[in-house]
Amino acid sequence: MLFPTLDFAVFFLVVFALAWALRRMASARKTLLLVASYFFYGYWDWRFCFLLLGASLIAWVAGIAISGATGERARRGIVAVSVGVLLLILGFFKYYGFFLESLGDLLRGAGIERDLPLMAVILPVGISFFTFQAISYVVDVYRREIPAARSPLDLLLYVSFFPQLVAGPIVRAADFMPQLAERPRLTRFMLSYGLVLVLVGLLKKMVVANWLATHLVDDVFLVPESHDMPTLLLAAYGYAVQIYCDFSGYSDIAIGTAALLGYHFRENFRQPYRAASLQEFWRRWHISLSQWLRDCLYKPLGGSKSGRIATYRNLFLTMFLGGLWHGAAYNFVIWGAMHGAALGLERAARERFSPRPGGPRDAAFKRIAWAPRPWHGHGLVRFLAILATFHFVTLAWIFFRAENFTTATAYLSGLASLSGSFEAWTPFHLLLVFVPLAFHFTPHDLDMRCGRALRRWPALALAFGFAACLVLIQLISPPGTAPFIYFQF
Amino acid sequence: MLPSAPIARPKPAPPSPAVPRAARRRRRPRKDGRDTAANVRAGLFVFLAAFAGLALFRSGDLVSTTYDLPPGETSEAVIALAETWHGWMEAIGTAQAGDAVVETVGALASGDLFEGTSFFPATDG
Repeated sequence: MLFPTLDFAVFFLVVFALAWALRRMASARKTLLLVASYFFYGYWDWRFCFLLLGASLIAWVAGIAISGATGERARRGIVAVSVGVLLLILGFFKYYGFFLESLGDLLRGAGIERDLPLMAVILPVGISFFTFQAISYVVDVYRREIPAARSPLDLLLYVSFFPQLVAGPIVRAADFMPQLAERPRLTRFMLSYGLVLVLVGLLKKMVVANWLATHLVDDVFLVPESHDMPTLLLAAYGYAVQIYCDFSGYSDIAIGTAALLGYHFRENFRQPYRAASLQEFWRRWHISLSQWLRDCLYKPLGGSKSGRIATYRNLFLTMFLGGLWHGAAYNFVIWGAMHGAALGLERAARERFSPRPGGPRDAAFKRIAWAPRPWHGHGLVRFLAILATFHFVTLAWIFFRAENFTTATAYLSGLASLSGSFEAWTPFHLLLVFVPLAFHFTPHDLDMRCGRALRRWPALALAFGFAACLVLIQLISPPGTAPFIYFQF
Repeated sequence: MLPSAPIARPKPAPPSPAVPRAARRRRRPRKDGRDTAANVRAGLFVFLAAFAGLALFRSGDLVSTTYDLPPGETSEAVIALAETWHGWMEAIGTAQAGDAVVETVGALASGDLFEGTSFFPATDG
C-alpha cells in the first residue's frame, strides 16, 4: 500500500478512528495497530508477512535470552548469533542473485561450466528497514537501554508499525517501545503538526519528485549519450532534488501519521543540502540510518578511538558497507566508496588545517570574519563549502542513479563535454529544482512552527485548509502513482 | 484572672507545593482525556473534509478508481454511483475547475504556457 493513494487514505481513516476508540484499552489498541500493520504490509504480498513475523520473533527470543544470560560472554554470543541470523536472512534476499551471477561468471572465466541452482528471489519491500529495527532492539536490550519485552505484542508492533515499516525512519527500540507503555494522547499540536507533515510529504513526493522523475530525470538517465552537457547537469541537480523529496517526503508522511496516532518519531532529514561538509551532510541526511550505522557498525569497528589509520579505515568501511546495503551492484559500491574516501580525506584535512583552540592561528582566524575556519564558519567560506559539498554529493548520486557503471561513465563524459544548449532549463524545471533547494535555507523547524501556529485554528478552518491543500496537491501532481525510491532497499 | 495576652502567631506560610506549578499544570489527566477526544473528533472532521474536497474536484478520478474494482454486481452499482456523482460535479462546474488547474500545470510543464521561453537562449553546440 502506497501512502499517496485512495487505498491508504481509507485504510488510515479506519485505523485512526478505531485506534483512538480503543485508547483506554492498551492491549486491544496495540493488537489493532499490529493487525493493521500486517494488513498494510500484506497488501503487496501476504507471504512476506511470515518473514516479518520471523524476524520479529528472532529478536524477541534473543531479547529474552540476553536478559536471562548471566555472563557477559554469553550475552555477547546471543547478540552475535541473533544479529548474524537476521543479517543472513537479509543477505539471502538482497544478494543471492548477485552472488550466483558473479559465481557463474567466475566459473566460466576459469573454463568451468556448471548449472547453478537458479531461483527467482523477489526482494521483499522494506526488508532492510524491519531487519535493522529488529537488530536495533537486540542491541538496545544488550546495552541495557530497554528491558527485554516479555510479551511479543510490543515487539511485533515495534518492528511492523506501518508508518515506518517499508522505508523508515529506522526508529530505535529505546525511543519507541517506552511510548507503548504510556496511554496515548493526541494534543492539538500533534494533530496540526501531523497534518502539516503529511501535506509537506505529499507535496514533496507527489509534486516535486514525481514531476522531476517523469519530466526530466528518467529520460536523461535512460540514455545520457543523447543529451548535452547543460541537460545532463540539470538532470543531475534534478535527481539530487528528486531523491531528497522522494525519501524525505516518505519520512515526513511517516512521522506525521505516527504523530496522528499519538507516537513521536525523531526527524530523519534536516535540510541536508545546506551542509558545509560531508560529515555535516551525513548528520542531516537519513539521520536514523546514519545513527544506526554509527552505533551498530562504526563504533563496534572501533570508531575513532583506535588511532588515526584505523579511524579512516572504519569510516571507509562504514560508508562502503552502507553503499553495499543499498544493493548488490557496483554502482552502489562506488557510491559508498566515494563517500567513505571523501569523508576520510575531509577528516584528514580538518585535522591538518583546523587551528588548535587557543593557539596563535586560532586567534588570528578569530580576527577575520571570513577566515577559513573549516566547516564551521559563516559567510563566503561556508557558502563555498556548501556549494562544494552539494556538488560532490550530486556527483556521487550519478553513480547511485545510473542503471550500471557504463551508463554512469557515459553520463560523466557527457558532463565533461562542455557544450550544448540550455533548452531544457525551462521555467518549470528551474522551479522544480531550485525552489526545494531554496527551502533548505529557511528555518529548519518551519514545519514545527506551522504546526504551532495552526494549533489555535478552529477545527473547521483546519479542515478547510487541509482539504484545500490536499486537493491542490492532487491537481498539480502528474498523473499516476510512482513508488518511493527507497522501497527497493 | 488575668486576661491572656494575645500571642502573636506568625502568619502560616503557604504550603510549599510538592510538585512544581509547571508540572502540576502538565498533570491534567481528565482534561487531557477530553482534549484527546476533541482532537480526535477534529482529526476525523479534517479527513472527511479532505475526502469531500477530493470528491468535489477530482470526481473523474473517483470514476477511474471504481473501474479497477473486481467485476460484480456491487461494483457495477458503485461505478454507476460514481458516474452519477461525476455528472453532478460536471453540472455544478467543480470537475471543470479541477480540470482547468490540471491543464494549466500541464501547459506549464510542456512549455506551452511560456511558449519559446528558456532560461538561456539556445546556442549551437
